[in-house]
Amino acid sequence: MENKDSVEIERKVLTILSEINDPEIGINLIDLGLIYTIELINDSEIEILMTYSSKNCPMGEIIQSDIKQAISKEFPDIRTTIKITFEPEWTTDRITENGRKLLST
Amino acid sequence: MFRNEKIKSGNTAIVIFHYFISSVSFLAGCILLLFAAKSLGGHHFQPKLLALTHLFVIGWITTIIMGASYQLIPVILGSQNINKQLSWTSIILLIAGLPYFIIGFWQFTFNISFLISALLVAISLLLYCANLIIALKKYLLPDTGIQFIKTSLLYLFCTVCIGIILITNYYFPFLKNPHINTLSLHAHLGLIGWILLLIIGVSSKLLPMFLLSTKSDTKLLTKCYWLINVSLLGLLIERLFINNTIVLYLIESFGAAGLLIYLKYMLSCYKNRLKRKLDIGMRATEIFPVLLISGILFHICALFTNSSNLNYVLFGMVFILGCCGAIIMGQTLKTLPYIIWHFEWNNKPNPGNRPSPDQYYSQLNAKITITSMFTGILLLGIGKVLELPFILTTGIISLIITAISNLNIIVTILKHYIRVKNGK
Repeated sequence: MENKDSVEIERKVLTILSEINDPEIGINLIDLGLIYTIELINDSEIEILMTYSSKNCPMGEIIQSDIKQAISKEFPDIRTTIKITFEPEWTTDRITENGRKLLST
Repeated sequence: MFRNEKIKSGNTAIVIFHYFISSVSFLAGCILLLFAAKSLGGHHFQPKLLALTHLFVIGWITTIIMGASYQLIPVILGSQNINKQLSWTSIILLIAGLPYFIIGFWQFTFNISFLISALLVAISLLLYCANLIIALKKYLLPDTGIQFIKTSLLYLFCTVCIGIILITNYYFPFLKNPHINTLSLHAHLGLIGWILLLIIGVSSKLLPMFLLSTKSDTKLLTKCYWLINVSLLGLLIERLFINNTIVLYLIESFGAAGLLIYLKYMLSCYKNRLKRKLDIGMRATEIFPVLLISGILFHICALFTNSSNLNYVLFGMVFILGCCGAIIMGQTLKTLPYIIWHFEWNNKPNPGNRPSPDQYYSQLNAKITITSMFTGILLLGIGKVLELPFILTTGIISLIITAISNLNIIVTILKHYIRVKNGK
């Protein structure tokens, strides 16, 4: 069972990711549906499983760098590991209602 | 788990250099257009129009396509397999050959210098073809967009070969077929087979991505692909062996149907898009369908009416300056700042106030470029139809403003790139 602190940290990471925008699409990674899971491992490592909006997304490295930078600013003692998967592949169905609102304004 | 292969930014210099050469060619073409305004009123097959067509199609359109493909193909394929040496050799040969090639057409003097310059241009384009074919041959997944791109390269190869045949025929006449038929084939394969198929191939991949379309009907693309190819192959047979007007109408109708199906695909991408607020680049691209339909109508009018010269020139204006211009200007604003932005910020921490790519150029400058371009094309069309030289000249001046404004955007981005490169 996850302890209260780890849930709190994972929630905080979720908030951090919701403040990072995809450079091309212009909305945040959470509303864009790029983040699959966030997990705190052994209280020392945050593991993020995510995808890109296209398989060879040229912005991928910049997005990863932004994520690592933002998390290390908030949690300097925790290492961030990002794993990229295309199973399932990203489609526009993954964009949240809020994301759709942001795109339409 | 997928391991994302790094797409290195090593092509940035060659890409931006192509954009620069392309925008200079466009400016040169617009200025020359001012001196060829009278020719727009005459027959479509004449020296100044031939010179301008080659300058716009090779110097402006093909050069920017070459540059954009050196950036996009590695992204689409997921690996860096464009040969940089070949890319540089190709563009240097083009720069060396193109000016005298255009002058030769303009003055209609087919001397040895013209022959050498034509060969340099031909070798440049063939090297580009070889570079891309080698890069694409490893991509074996079924993909209609890639199929369009591969086929367009084949048509570029054929267009260049027919061009060489036409030029050789000036020096050593050997063609039994009427010269004008071979020229018509050269023009169709170049404009439709090479440029339009490539635009369709690339846009079929980029449009749903940029617009975040919830559905894009790829079956429409397959139909479009076959209709246009049947039409082009039919044209090849008709022009070389049949020479029958009814057969020509039938063949052209296949091509027109293919283009209309592509427009339906575009429309479906726009209708089903999540991104409602479009940037200036995508808004400029929105005009493309209107211009393409106008182009098809002028082409049909040229086939069925007595005023074929008027309609062929209008078709040329609308297709080359309008359709290609809408895509080129729109997608330059969309892609070039991103390429430089990526070059600047990849592997660099976000300082918190990182600019967005559209801050790399002035929005007012972009609006002037797009507005003056469409105003210019409209005035050119009106001036040509109503035979009003003043309107025609005003349209050309408007296009010169477009070209200067566009060059200013490219130079601004180029200067920024040089600053970043020197600072890295």
